[in-house]
Amino acid sequence: MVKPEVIKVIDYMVDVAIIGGGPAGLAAAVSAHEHGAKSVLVIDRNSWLGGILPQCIHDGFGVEETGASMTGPEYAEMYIEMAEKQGIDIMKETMVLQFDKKREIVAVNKKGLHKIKASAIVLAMGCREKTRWNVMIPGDRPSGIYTAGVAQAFINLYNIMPGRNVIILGSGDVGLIMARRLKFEGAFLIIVCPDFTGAFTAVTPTSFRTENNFSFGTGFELLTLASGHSPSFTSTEVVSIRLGSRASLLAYSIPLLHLFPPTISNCIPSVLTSILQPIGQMIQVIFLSAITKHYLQVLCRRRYIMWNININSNHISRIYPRQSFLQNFFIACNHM
Amino acid sequence: MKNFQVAVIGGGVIGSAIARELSKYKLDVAIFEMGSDVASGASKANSGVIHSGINSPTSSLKARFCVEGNKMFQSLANELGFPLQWVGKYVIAKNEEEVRDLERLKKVCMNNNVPGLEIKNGPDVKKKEPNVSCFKALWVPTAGITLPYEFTIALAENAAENNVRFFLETKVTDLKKQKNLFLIKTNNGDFQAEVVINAAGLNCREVVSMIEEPDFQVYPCRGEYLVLDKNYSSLINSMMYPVPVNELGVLGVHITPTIEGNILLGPSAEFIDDPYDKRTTKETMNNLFQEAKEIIPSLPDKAVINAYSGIRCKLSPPESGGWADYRIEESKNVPGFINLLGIESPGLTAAPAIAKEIIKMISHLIELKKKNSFKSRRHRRKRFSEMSAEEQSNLIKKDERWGRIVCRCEHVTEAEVIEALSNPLGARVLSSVKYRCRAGMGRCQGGFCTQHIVRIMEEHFNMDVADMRLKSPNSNLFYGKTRGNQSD
Repeated sequence: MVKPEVIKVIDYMVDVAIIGGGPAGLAAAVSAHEHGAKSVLVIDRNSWLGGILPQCIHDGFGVEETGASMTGPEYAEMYIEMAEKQGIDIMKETMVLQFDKKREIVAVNKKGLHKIKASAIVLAMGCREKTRWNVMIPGDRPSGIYTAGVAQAFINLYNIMPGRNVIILGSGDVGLIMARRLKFEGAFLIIVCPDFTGAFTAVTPTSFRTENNFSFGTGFELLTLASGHSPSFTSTEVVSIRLGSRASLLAYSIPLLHLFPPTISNCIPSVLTSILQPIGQMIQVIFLSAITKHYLQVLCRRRYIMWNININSNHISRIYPRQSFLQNFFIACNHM
Repeated sequence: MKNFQVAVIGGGVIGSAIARELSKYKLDVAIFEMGSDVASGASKANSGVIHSGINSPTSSLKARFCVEGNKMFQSLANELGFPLQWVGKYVIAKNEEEVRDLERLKKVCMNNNVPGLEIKNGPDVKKKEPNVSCFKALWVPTAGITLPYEFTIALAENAAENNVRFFLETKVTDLKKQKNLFLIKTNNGDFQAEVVINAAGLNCREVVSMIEEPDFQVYPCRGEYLVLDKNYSSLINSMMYPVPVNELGVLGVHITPTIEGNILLGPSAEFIDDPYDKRTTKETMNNLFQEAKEIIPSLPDKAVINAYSGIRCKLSPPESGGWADYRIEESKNVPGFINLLGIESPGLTAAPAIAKEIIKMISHLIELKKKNSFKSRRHRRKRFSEMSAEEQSNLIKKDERWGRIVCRCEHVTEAEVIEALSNPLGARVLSSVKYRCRAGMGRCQGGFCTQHIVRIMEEHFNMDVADMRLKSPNSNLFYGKTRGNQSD
């Protein structure tokens, strides 16, 4: 055991510590401050605030709240400005390594280890995308398979083009947003698979085949599928096919996203793990802050006591009874 | 043309173990590996089990090298710093009939000098392993687990530190013997060597056929695995094996805890025609689950974070039982050409003992002199996640890159990624990072860290995104820059 005085930790005391500086975390911070929390600290892993928003350069954010349709970065900026105006403390490039039931957080950044004692902790770590293995899509393991969010980050944040010929599994909003984005960046071949159920085998660069032996040779340039749900390639109407070069990227989007608790394996009390997991299954879409705001309004009025919350949403009220046995832990998340 | 005394074809666990053993002597040694890193084939895609030697017939090479290799592992782990845990294994009998198999196994073990065996009753097993359902079980305490890729990398990197030359992405295309020297043609130029060791695994027949008519066939047998999330690591403490599937010469679907806390289910056994067909299949995935559920009924359905397969190099077809012994021999027609054929399970365990045997064979061909400068200890890459808070603080104070977490699932720092990419083998593909420091091996499977690793490759190693690869020479990750950011 290391003696505590030997460890150089930097100590803080705050009213509300918010883990995650994405839309939910920022909204929670703003709301907590508006409702009387004196010191609010937002901790985020990235060097920027806004979470996933900076890579979502399409518009459609904030319509319900403001009446105006904004891009992801604009929408994030609105909350970042609010947070700055209210003097909310921000720790960027800081990763929470652990916390416990006494609400002591240990976080790390390039200055060292930090210990943060909070009266309340809001978990706003967002989601992680499910991988192909989570949904048990078998096949080969070639390069060029990305989740939609990873592909989006490469294109929009790092100017890296994952591929010029792209197959997108899933045609929800995420799949179509990526299809449009790739087209803007000059992709030749974009195949959107409305409802993909078969196995896929992608052998770069020469062929692409599915379980039902639908085979793409070298050389399809544009294949657009008609919309509508269909269980396999073969029963999907192919609108046009032109020759091209290769299938090097499979971006797929699986609409059921996974809530992302930090380091669940080794530091979160197991009681919390069992709460977070089922919630992860229920949360379906990435962006929403209004619920979070409402959630904390009620929460602050009741002096952070969880079991008094009453929200007019089936979704939230279904989950809150499970949280009551850990005092002063809250979850800020997105909701359809 | 570069001259070597010994050339090893294949940088799997066998080739790397031989390389490390050879690096103790005053020799010029080259390893040719066609993949972008060592452990590119079956050496990375297996259960990571250090077998005790209970499954091979007494007096077989498999039994001999397995038992000998097993005994060498602890001191190797101490020297090379790869993880190793002696968790032991249970062979599970589901009914009275299978208990006979246990007794038969126990007899084989006794003959193979495997110590500490014990047949336990179901309730006794249940006390130690509450999630396991069984009638009786054979307890084998001398079985252990390691990380097969880390073990192979440790062997290879230690060999490289002791001046063995590794040629990655170098495929041997032709082999000839002219007078006393072998002429080795590769895609990276031509080489000469006095002794050639064929440790090419699945490609062993292809290598033999370059120089003589092979007297054997290779029957590739695919084994698929599922990797479970760390959340379920407490399901078992030891390995759980069914009674072996004799018809196929394989051990059956077993449940293996790993050092990192993930549980492996597998492998299946399917003879295939194409030795490169490493796909996983829906049917097998479901079967693995079902078979594992017979041992652990409470196994959760949605626990899978990854799936992979490895191909066994079998010398016997399924019609004749699938079992054949290793062949470790010098060619009768071509002196100096040493072949390692059919090295499948328990090859990982056997590797260090096989390497010793190869040294003995080489000593009849070349005079071997120990070198004084041999460094047996390898600098072990320390994991941030394993350190005490004090160690973490001190390192961050010295180098702030220790304070930047790149892989959030596994708590891997930027310093660790840079160190992994600076490896002595010069392996610089994405999977080289993954297998050295675990970035990308957690629950999100690289969903968040890939972009940061790519940035590090660009900034610290001046790599062009268009040249970055996942794991092999043609596995490019990206097309290049987006429009408007292309250099031309």
